[in-house]
Amino acid sequence: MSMQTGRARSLILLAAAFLGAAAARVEAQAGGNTAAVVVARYPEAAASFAGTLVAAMIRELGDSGFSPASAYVGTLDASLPDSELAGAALAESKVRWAAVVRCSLDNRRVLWRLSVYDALDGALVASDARAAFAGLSALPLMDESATLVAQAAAALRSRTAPGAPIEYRIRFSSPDDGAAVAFGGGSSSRLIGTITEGGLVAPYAAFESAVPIVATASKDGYWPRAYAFEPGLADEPVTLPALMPRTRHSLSAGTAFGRLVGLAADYRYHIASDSVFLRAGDQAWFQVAAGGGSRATLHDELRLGLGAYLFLPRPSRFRIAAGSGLSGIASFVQSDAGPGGLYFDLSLDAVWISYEWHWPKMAVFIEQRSAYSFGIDAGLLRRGWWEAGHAPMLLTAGAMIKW
Amino acid sequence: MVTSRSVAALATATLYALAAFLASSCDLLSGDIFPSWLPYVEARADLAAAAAEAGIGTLRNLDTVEYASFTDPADGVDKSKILAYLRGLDGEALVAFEPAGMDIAMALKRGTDPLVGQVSGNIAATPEGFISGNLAFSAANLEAAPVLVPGGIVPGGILVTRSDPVEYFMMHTWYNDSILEYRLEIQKFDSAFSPLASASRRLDAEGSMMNLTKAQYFETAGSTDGLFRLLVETGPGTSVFSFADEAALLSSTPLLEDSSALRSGPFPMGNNGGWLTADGIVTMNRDSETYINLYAYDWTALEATPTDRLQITGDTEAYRIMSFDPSGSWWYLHDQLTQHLFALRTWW
Repeated sequence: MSMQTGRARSLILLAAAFLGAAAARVEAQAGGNTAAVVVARYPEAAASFAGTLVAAMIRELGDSGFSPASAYVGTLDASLPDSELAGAALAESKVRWAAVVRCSLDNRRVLWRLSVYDALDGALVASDARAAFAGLSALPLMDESATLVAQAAAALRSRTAPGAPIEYRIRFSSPDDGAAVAFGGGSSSRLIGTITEGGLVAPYAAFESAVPIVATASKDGYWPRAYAFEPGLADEPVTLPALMPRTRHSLSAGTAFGRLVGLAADYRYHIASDSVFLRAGDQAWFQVAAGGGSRATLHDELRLGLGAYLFLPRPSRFRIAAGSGLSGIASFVQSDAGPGGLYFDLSLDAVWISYEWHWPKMAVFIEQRSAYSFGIDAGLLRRGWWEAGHAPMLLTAGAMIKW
Repeated sequence: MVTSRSVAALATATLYALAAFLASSCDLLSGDIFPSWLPYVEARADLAAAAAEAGIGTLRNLDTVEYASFTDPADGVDKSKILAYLRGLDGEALVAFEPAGMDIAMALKRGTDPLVGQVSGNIAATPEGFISGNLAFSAANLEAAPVLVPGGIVPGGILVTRSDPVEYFMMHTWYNDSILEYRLEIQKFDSAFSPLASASRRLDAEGSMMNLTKAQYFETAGSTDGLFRLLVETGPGTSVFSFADEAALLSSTPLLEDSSALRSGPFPMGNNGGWLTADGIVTMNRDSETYINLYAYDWTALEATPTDRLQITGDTEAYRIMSFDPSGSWWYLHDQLTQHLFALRTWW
């Protein structure tokens, strides 16, 4: 411990390090939790109070999770501001945290200030300044002050260095002309403009580079969409994903495995956009066999049902829809000698699940279904669950357009 | 909160699940909910309705299905019939179906209509129509009274018909427990069922086990002599013995020692029997998958390999193949769950 007497007040400098050993400044950014360094400078008259503050500071830093602090050993100019004193001590001791304690006497009062600085960017992370009667009654106040400062510093122990602010106006590109773009989301968002001719240059905002920010695009007839991005140091346009329109109708075409010589068409009317819908579909296909005596059997299935999108947000690219309904299949079996046979099967379309990948105007899907045949006399199917070959469910794949 | 990352993870997991599902379902790309044999169906009959029409109550079993081919020389009309023998809770009946559409042409309950005899499940086609039990029916006029056949078809026996001249060969196997020998008895009748000749044959000199399951006469184009083919179960397996003429059939030489008997086989038969057709032998084999196999008569390999086959998918345990038409044109399948009888075209 050394003392400087050039000014009328005392100075104590503490540096608490997180490091396993004294480390470079860059290494200090990684954080740590090891020993601290304490350096104290004060006029002789305030020595007893300063000693109390230093001891309290060392103790409270340790109790708050810092490694045991130690006094800084060196000579500093007490006339320098606290931040410079801390910077000098941090540079010399190569630790991350430095606590500066100033203590002085003014007539019969003792005045002190405790400050903690972070070597990461030299920021003041905690501070407390007080004055009290220069007597024993000041000692509990000094302990309390040290506790508050140590706890405030400990709360920021995992802080990282803030990035540099960007120096350009963020440019957005989007296929949705007329879409309003805002920084943030919800009621706290700030409107920054409208997409025109596929782009928008936002008013300058001092966002830090590499810090995620959120932009929300919205447009009538479309689902609003929030997009998070991290602006870089260089001026590069931010591409906003296309907005998903609110769907009222969709029409799909596809075919089923095992019914490849045929086509399925399906219409959906959305009672609630992209949520609950009615569907009506028709699928016609020929059942063929390779043998010489085979005659293609024509099947035509009419489906009616109710479905809903589950689990995922309505504007999602990937969506899962499920539902149930009724199915009626008419089958015409060809005959060589007779008139042929016309049969009709009625089934409960017990559950179907559709896995879909959506673009704004279209989607592709694979649908699984499990149905139960009522086994009516006029039909070809027995009463029971459908079996497609050896698979329990029938698969259909196709594409749909939406509007 | 659902994020784009969680959506992507869910999408990836779902695609993996679908891929695994596809990979694990080997028949997924070809299977549909309808039977694989549906494109071969010519017509379907409702056996429960036939049983009701015949007055035998609820159908219990379908014993026999045979095809009787007949073209009426008087008008040149095809009057062939599909004959089925049904067993119900209240009796038994012979039902004749029209091949086209399988409408019921006749339903005759056993022991009620013709008091001269009894129909039975032993059915054989004849040049004039068909015989069931000890009654011969005219296909030209099913409403005509049937003719009594003395003795009829021996229970367990097989009646083989030759049309030019009209002659019948009644065959059956039996076990003579006094001398511990299996015997094949063959009796030849004329068109009036008067006996003409007979033969008693053994499999070998020891009279080893044999069981005649099918027999058929196949006319040979350009020849008065056709082929008699006999499907015989023996200890080593099931074989077909073919005889080029009547004299070879009626020989008393043991079958395995008869140089005039061409032996084909053994064929893999399983427990589902086999059928003789003009195009080969048909068997049904149930394993992990069910196939109906067609084997040629003149195969030369050590093990018979099917020349053609048809896979049966779905609940195959409920499907029962009733018969194959000897001409090789038709076959009949009984769905025991729905009590439907299907007439199908062959696939070869």
